[in-house]
Amino acid sequence: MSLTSDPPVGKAAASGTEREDYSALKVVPVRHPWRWAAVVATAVLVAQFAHGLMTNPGWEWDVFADFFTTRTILKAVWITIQLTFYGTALGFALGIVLAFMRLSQSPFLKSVAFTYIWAFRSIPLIVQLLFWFNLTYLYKRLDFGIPFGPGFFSFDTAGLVGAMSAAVLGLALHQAAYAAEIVRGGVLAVDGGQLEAAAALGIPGCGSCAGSCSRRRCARSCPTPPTRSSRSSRAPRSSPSWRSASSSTRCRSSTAATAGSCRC
Amino acid sequence: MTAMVDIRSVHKSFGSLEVLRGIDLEVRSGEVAVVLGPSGSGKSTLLRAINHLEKVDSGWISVGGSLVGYRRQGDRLYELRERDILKQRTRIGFVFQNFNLFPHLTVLENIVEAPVSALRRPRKEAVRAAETLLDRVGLADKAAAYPRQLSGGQQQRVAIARALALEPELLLFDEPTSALDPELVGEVLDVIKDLAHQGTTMIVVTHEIGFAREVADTVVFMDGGRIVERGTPAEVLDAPRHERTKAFLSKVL
Repeated sequence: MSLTSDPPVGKAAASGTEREDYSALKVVPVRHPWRWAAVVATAVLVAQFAHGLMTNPGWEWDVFADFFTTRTILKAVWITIQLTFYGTALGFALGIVLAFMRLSQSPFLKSVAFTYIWAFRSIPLIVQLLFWFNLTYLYKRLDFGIPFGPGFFSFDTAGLVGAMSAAVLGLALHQAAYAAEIVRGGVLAVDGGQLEAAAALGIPGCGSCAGSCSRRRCARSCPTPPTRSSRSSRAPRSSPSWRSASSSTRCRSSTAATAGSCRC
Repeated sequence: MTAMVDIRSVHKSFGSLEVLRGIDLEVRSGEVAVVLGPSGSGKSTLLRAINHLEKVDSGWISVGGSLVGYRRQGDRLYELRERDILKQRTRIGFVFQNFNLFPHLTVLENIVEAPVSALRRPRKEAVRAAETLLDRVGLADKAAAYPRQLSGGQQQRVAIARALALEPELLLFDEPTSALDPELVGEVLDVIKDLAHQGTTMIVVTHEIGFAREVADTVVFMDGGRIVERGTPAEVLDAPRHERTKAFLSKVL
């Protein structure tokens, strides 16, 4: 009690009478020992892993080098690139539709989009791919016509859905769920004041996907796509956000939005 | 003079809170109306209702002789689609308290955006007009700057130039100086005064009593969602008739 209630008489008197001169003293910045500990621990782990890669004969790097340029592998690389392209393009196209469904005022459209995104993000991709590959067992024929009514054209799914198209379908439907969340995140990231300003200025297309807002949205949604497939088309995340935003203003909004990949 | 803005028995509620309780107001062409009142009296809501950023529950508002947000057909009012409302808004300039400039566009691009994309003006012409406007608000040298590089007062002047770029027949100011520090208030008010002297019709929501006295043709005092008193600055500011107005003015003067 006496410690807190007693005024620090001596100190107050000292600072009141003569002012100390600190100008000659050396300034020591604050130390971060735990940061250094973390750096050391991480460096040791990285070094161990790199050392293991080089010294462990189990990796068999000579075999790796032998097979790296074989026909089968190169063919597989090309198929991977194709799958990436088709899956991303179709996925983003559907994802944009889903995003705007989820942002719409209709509770029905909203809940359908929510359920789709929830399901396709929750089910592991490998399970989805297996499912789509076996689609032909589930639906033997596809009819195009009046829903629940007669069909005009019909296709045999066995002939239509091959391995490649099943893979594209599976990747695209999976990617669509992620793309929808990316696009929705971008739309929601635009400050309400800006939307209001655009509305007050009569700039068209703020509800849909054009004009200044969507360019902004597109810029907003660009730096963070967590897609595993479209990494090459992105700017590094460390680039300042205003810069990516201003450069993407040059991309024509609607096309960029549908392609889901404006340059930024 | 004809009524530029005609507001008739406008009501608006947010949930159970009634923000506007029957507003009637007429603003003539070329008139400067200053709306005063305590926070929560419905000033901003009224202003936002005039360009249909806020939909009213009952009553109607017309600007320049045409109904805002609705189209009359027979004895029914059909709500306009977003596209048509946007078209109406190009005739009404709005200046926000927090400027709301587009942060990813330069000052010049901010001003050019609306004439080009809303009015389909050729870009070159819009740029020339924007440069004239920037000169008018004293920011000709800031055309290439981004909003975050400007002071609050400069940003608000850009926002005013942006609103003017559409050559609106009516300008609405929603507390244009409330987000500014005292030293910067003057430069923004000077621009608004300038516009007032040139005969622009405007409605200004503000707490700057001195500005109201100097510029306003009409001062409107609002409280609790109603217009308590309206008249010339001399009537309302110097000889208020209502107790509520007196109480408010005694605190801000």
